[in-house]
Amino acid sequence: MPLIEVQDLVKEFQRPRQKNGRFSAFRTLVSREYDVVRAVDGISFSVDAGEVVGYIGPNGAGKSTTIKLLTGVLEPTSGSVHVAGSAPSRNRRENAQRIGAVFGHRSQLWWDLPLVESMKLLAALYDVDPKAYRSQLAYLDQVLGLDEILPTPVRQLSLGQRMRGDLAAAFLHQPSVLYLDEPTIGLDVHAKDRVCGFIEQVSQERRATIVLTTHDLADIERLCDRVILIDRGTVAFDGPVKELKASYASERVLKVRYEAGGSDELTLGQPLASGTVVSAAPGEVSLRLPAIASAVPTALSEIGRLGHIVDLSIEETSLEEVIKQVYSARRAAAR
Amino acid sequence: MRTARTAWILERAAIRAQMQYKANFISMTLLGIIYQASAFSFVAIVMYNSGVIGGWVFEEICFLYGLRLLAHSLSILPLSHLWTLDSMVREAEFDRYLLRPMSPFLQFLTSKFQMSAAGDLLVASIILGYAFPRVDIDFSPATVTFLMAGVAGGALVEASIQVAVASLVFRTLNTMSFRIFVDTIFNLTGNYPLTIFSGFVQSFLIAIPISFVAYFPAVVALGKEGELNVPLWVAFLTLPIGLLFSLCAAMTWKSQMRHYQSAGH
Repeated sequence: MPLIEVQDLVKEFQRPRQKNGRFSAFRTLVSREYDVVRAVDGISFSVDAGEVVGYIGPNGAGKSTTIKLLTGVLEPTSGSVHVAGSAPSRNRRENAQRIGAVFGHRSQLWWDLPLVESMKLLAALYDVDPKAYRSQLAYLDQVLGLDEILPTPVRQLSLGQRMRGDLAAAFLHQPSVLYLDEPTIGLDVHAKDRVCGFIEQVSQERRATIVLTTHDLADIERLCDRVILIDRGTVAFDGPVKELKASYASERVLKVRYEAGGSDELTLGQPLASGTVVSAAPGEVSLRLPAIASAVPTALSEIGRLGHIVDLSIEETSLEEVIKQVYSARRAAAR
Repeated sequence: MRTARTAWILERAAIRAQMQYKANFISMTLLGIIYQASAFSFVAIVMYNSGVIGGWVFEEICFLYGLRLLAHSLSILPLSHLWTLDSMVREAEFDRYLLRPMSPFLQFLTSKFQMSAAGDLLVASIILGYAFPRVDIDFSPATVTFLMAGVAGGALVEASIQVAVASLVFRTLNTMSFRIFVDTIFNLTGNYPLTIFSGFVQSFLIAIPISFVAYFPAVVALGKEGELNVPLWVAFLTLPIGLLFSLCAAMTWKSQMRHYQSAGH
């Protein structure tokens, strides 16, 4: 049985309808008209124990709302969420012991106190016994380098340090599920690497199930076996990252440098092997090829005739490019 | 039991956090003293000129005023940060309480501690210290117990109403003016004998139930039962009414919290 099960999930928000024209502020105040906004519009998926799932989509697609529904902060308008067989918003306390959550743009630590105090308070809140607390803190120090920042008041931590603190806080009670809502937002490369390292380690060593939202697709490619792409509150793709790329990224670019002998015979747009030349200079050529295994060797042997090959590289279509394609295809289909 | 221990651990942390802001603590306390002392001096000046209001002499008014201020201080002691709930809900800081295995209300209660009650408490003790030896009350164990129950019940009434009103924030996103409105009614009417008001206002004040906070306990302790226009046993109900109001406040909080919408998508 899957650990997380989401069935036809819908979440609507109501907001007072904004009036225009004269006395608009007052008329908004007294009006009883509401606009209904559907942030999540019939999402279904399930996550098995131990999976690392990337949950991605543009701003306003419903990512954070889904995370809030999964964690039990919000109640579904219709449909259902089950985590380990129980509905999070109805069994909040039971669910809380099982999950850890990090919201990248909002710290959950005690702002005015040293980080170590937050850890102690959370240990009391989650009823972590002293022995487990010590060993878990030692583990978190090893993964996140916690010791150097434990005595510092949270308000004096840098963003990267604070995020390490938040990750440690979310994992202190050894939850089986971790929800990470943009944990790398605003971080520099080094801090980001540390967060990714943490996710890799707890996933491998502690078999934690992780649902991760981010706008950084490099994180997704590095960390996630599976990706759920959402768009306007609905699932646009659900499957392995590789499959997503394979189904949309049907082409790749081969760049070759060779020892050009005599006149250059390649021109832009010229067909070569199974592809086309997209850029050409003396001793250098880029070819757009279909993403099939046989395309590269044939192209290489063709180019090899022009001169001895010195260097080559293959550029896969980036995940970002793939996702752009998915969205534009859906926009076109909707029209 | 474990919950109470955890709540105490959290509350102590909130106090430690607050103690980092010493200047704020001192000015908060001073503000409380100045605010309450000037409110009381207004009453003292009126009394100096008239001698008696509603059949109560100065010392008796002091006793009533002190009881009510004591109940008020105790009610705001754990709740002085109630006003922060508005922004917490509006800005979705409240999310975190729903992610942890403890009652969100208890977590909010222990999230901050502001010593703004210190000044009120100090002024209340000075006024009561002045009144106690000068009023005609035999401070027997029974009377002391009765008065303590009255103060506790009064504090519960005031705290419950404030919490119930504040919990409307889950739907309305802003409760400031409503909370100030309630606080003002309590301050304007709670410190005086019911006899100075007209019949209709009297019934209103009993109903909402400000008269239970300090007036009824004071009437019984001072032996002024003759001026009551309700059966005598009603004047003994402060603590039960405080408990009943706490229950209603808890239910209001629970039903309102279901409307929490967080923020952002």
